[in-house]
Amino acid sequence: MSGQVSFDKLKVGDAIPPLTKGPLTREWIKKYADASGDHNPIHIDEKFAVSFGLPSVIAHGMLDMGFVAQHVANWVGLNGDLKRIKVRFVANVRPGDMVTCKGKVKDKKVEGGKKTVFLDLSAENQKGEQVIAGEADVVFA
Amino acid sequence: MSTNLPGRDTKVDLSVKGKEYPPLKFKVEKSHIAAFAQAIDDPNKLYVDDKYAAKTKYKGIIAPPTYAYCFAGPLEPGKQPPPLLVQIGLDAKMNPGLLVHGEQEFEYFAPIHPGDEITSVARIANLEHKPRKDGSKRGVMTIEITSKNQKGEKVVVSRVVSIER
Repeated sequence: MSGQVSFDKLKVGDAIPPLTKGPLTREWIKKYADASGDHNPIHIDEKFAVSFGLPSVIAHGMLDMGFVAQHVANWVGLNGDLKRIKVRFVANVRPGDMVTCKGKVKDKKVEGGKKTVFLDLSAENQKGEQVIAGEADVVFA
Repeated sequence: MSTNLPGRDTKVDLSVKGKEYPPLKFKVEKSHIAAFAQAIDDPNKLYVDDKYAAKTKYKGIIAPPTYAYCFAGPLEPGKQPPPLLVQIGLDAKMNPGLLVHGEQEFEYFAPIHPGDEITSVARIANLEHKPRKDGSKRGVMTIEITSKNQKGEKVVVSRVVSIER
């Protein structure tokens, strides 16, 4: 939660500090299933996941997105508001995986008094494989 | 489970495109916001600390960004009647054995606080047959969920893109 982030100082191409989460565990995924209400067996039942054609249970895409949203929201902190976030789930995240969230300033604009920063987002696992591609709009105060 | 394998043309029914569903109510609880933030391991005090949050522009605890996904109801398999997102997939004849969450978008209009009573309306915003690499067709669906609070303020619009593998 940086107090330093300011619209005026940000430049197109600037990277925002990465956030690494994990390693994911089966217990963690189960905890997210309970908190979110998503008990799809693909996330919690090993046998079912295998019958779905997967090597093991996978984390909820929404948990992975939770990391990406945390990354952006806590970067901007109280300096602004997350206005929009969009992700594409590129690959599965499994128990044992680390997830590193990255972001880059794609554009910035002042329109109708609104200072908006447009971010390109990405999350990758410990092998450097992309698991999420995304974008977010952040409005600064 | 050969019927669950990709490579077959989709049976998705394009005629339900545009269908709107009855409003769904959701009560936002402080303890649920806390459990949700903890399940992401998100340390932001805005989600748990009353005193801290009260001193910010939000004037109290708010929900984390992806919390809004809960508004469409718990995704409990086998539940009767099926949860909304499951029901919509069934209505569109998406093959449950192939279904994956392809994309997710949230657009935020106002903060979500404990005690809020959220009313959400879901609509099949888009429904298409799209080609796979092998030339077979799969179903791709966008469900748009508009959520308002007890004051009638729009708080968030969520777009769920489901695809058949």
